[in-house]
Amino acid sequence: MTMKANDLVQAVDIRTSFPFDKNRRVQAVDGVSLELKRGEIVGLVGESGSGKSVTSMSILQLILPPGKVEGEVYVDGMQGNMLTYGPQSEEARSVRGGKIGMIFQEPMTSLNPIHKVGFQIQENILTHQKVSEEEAKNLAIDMMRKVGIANPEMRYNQYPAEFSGGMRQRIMIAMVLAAKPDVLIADEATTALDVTTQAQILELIQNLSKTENVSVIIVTHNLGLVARYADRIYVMYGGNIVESGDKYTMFASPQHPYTKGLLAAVPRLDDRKDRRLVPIEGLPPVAINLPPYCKFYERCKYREDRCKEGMCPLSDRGNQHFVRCVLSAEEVAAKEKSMADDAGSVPEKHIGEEPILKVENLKMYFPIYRGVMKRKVGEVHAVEDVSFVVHPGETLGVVGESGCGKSTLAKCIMRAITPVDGHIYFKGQDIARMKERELKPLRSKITMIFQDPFSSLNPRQTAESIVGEPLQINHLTSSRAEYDARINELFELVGLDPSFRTRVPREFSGGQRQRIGIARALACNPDVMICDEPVSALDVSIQAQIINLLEDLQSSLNLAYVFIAHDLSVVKHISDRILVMYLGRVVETAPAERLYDHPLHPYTKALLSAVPITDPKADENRERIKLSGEIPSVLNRPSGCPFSTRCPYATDRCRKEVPKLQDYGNGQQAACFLCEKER
Amino acid sequence: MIRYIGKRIAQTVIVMLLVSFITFLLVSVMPKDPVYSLFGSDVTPDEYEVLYKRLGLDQPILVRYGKWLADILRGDLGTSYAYRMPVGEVVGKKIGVTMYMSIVSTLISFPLGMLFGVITAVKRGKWQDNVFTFLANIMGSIPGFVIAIVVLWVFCVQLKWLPSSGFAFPWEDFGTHIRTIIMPMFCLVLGGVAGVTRQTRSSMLEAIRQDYVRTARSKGLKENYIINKHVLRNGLVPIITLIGGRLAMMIGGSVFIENVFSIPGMGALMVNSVNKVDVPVIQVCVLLTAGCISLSYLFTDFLYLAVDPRISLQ
Ligand SMILES: Nc1ncnc2c1ncn2[C@@H]1O[C@H](COP(=O)(O)OP(=O)(O)OP(=O)(O)O)[C@@H](O)[C@H]1O
Ligand code: SF4
Ligand code: SF4
Ligand SMILES: [Mg+2]
Repeated sequence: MTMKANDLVQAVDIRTSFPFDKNRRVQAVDGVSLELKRGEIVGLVGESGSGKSVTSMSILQLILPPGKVEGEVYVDGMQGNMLTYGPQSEEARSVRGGKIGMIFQEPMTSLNPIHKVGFQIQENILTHQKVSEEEAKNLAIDMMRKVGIANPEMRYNQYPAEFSGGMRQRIMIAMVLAAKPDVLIADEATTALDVTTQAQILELIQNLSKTENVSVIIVTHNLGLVARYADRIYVMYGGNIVESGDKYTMFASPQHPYTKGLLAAVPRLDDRKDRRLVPIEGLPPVAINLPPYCKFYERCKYREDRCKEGMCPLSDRGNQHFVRCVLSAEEVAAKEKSMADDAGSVPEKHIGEEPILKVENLKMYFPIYRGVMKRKVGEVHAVEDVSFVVHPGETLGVVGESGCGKSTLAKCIMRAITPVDGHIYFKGQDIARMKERELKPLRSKITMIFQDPFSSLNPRQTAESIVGEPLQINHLTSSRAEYDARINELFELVGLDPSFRTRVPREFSGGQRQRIGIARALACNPDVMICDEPVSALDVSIQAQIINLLEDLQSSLNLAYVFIAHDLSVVKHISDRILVMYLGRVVETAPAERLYDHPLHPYTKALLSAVPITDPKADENRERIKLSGEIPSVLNRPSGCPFSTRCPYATDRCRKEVPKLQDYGNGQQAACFLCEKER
Repeated sequence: MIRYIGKRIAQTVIVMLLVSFITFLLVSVMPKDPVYSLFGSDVTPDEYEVLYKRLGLDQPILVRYGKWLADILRGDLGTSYAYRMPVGEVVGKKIGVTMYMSIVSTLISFPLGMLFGVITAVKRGKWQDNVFTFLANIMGSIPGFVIAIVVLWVFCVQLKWLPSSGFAFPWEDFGTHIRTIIMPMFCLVLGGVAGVTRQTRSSMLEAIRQDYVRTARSKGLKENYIINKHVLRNGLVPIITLIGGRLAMMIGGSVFIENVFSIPGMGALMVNSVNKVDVPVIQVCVLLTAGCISLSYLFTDFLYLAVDPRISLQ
């Protein structure tokens, strides 16, 4: 087997397995073939556990025993199948780092804390280029400059601990590119970063791929990212590639039922107001019991008996668009029509007139202590002058990047902490400084769901006692029968089988756990539910189920939600109004549609444009505002407008004065001098 | 950095003061009258009054503590009840023997244990790992004095190669030194090596699993280089901090072993002194042991400072 003319890397039929128990092995990657051409950016997408990372690590022979890799890997400029040389061979090592460099997800732990970053970059250069140490240092500094690190001569001698997460990913990129590889693999390289930082890093990779002439494999679970940054896409499911092709073709006419399912399950920024997500039924596959036929069979809406006859090959549907499905595009389309997707619209909402929750000028500061004597040296202004109202049946979305005060705001409303100043009116009663005794009856009326509902709970507690605890604390049921009936009712409300009552958390999947968390929050018939990142730990197909559940519950129980998340698409999808926060301040608030169609604040614009939509054509036509720099630490907030250090329009006035929220009609308010002038 | 060093030294001084105060309190709780103990039970009541005042026993406890501490700092460690002679003379050489045993055995077991630990971790799952880990597990779980008795039986009783008791410092008589020390040292070192091997192995395995090691591999570096540059230091730094604790364990172990091999160290002295309720001697033994242990902890902290840049950053 030889490589095609302009291929840089070609992987053929990669099969990687790990021992599971004495006589079984997990087939994590089951026959993946992919190729990469010079100058190309390829996206490898799939949900957690689909085998993306294992595929890329197999190509680099980074899989350690007892893991086993079979198949063929050809690399331009190298003789024959790389896998036959063995992972420690001269050849394999010259490919690793020299021809193919890799960046990993965890920016905080991927650099060695005890070596200077300069050393770690230089090390890679010296391994793969014939240069002196001095030249290597210069090359490293050059590359650091190219990836946007200011003052690289000085920073060369710093340790990883002195860099932020985004900066470390830049160091990683510099490290990889300094050895002049042909290929860069970025495995979830930006997943742990804030959205605007994520956009910066991906744009950097995109630009460097042109200037440095490297091809890139972007490995991610995020369909939007590949829609924006990749040229060609591979979709993985259960260790297989199920669909591949040019991104325009693929997003315009996705053909594999899984790809179609994913696209229907993720919210998009440009969704119409009432679009209902269509979750993929069932659970993501577990690698140990995958069938020898179509891995998607269990969850596929269109499955037929002939799908079980064996593993279906990838077939060319024209235009280099490959699909691994027994059914033709026409057959799937026909079935789709006959099933007449009943997803329809989200249930109608009845938003009340009187606000249920009204927050006025809320402030929360935390003292900072230093030294042996624990002297107070300052304050963190975590929430600074925040006001909003929420009506019954309404969802208020809160977005912002890390450290903007979202979770502190939630804790204030829950009265887990007492705000320094301001008012929180719940049904007209100010609870901001209410004593615990008066607060007690109100506590069950404002409840909360979390990202991981069980991290703080006893792992041996049964689902029933988790859900029933609030009932018992508040003495809401008078008899055992009544209690049982209520538990069953709550389980059914959140779509759980009441027979699961006696199970413990670890016996539930991520999505089911979140349902239990919701049932617990609903136990006392609350009026307001605060959702802090409730779906961000879930796979997209499961995320859709939870979002739909929350929407149904809202309409049937007339709940008010405060929905906090960093994922703008999700917030936009579920919210009626959105509050955009930056460094503890509200910079803009508007109805969800309005905010997307007509953002006013430069930060909102940047945030929106950092989030790609899963339609490459439409995405390219959107206005893009790119930010430079990083979010300042709350410890040294800018004295004027909080955004002034990164705002492309900042003036002297912005750096001195804090802009106030001004009303711009249509329920929209923004805090920016520029908007005031343009009015 | 300097502030950190200053702080650690201050902490050590405070710990020592606390320990000294607690050991001083021993006198008051011990059911032994210092006057009779020092001057014999035939002291008349009148003489008793005088001696009682001379010893300062009529003064408040804090004043007596202050005086005692000042005496200690001047080098006057008090008078032994049992021997009726200065504690310094009684304790001096014996504590030297024990400290010598513990420090030397610690110094031998650390490099050896670290070496075996590194080998077992790097060769994880290979025969080297299986053999050394198996041995370390066995040796680590047999109490030191059991090994001591076995060794004693084999080499003294059966083979008659080595003397069963006695001790000499190397600068006194090197030949005797080697012959007397080889068995007790072997027993101490064996347990030490086993312990350090196991600790090093798990710390190294932890270091090998780190993400930055994967990064190093992805750069195509040689495996040996990766172990040297990226694993070793991270894996061994936590081990260094265990030196203090190990020394404390060695002092404890030495006290046992000394009794088995009739070595005139602190072990025998302590047992004797406790039997005879020789409070001043016990006080000084405890104080000196605590002092050695605190100093070794202090030393390991500074060592840590030297090898880990993260700490000096803070
Ligand atoms: N070292 C290992 N030992 C055993 N199983 C493994 C190992 N590494 C990965 N697997 C299994 O291989 C499968 C694929 O994992 P992989 O990490 O490639 O998924 P992924 O698509 O990268 O997911 P994610 O989005 O969570 O990063 C999973 O079922 C995982 O549990
Ligand atoms: S092969 Fe069958 S089960 Fe698999 S995706 Fe196609 S239709 Fe669904
Ligand atoms: S006030 Fe000034 S710095 Fe702040 S967002 Fe507006 S233009 Fe930018
Ligand atoms: Mg992965």
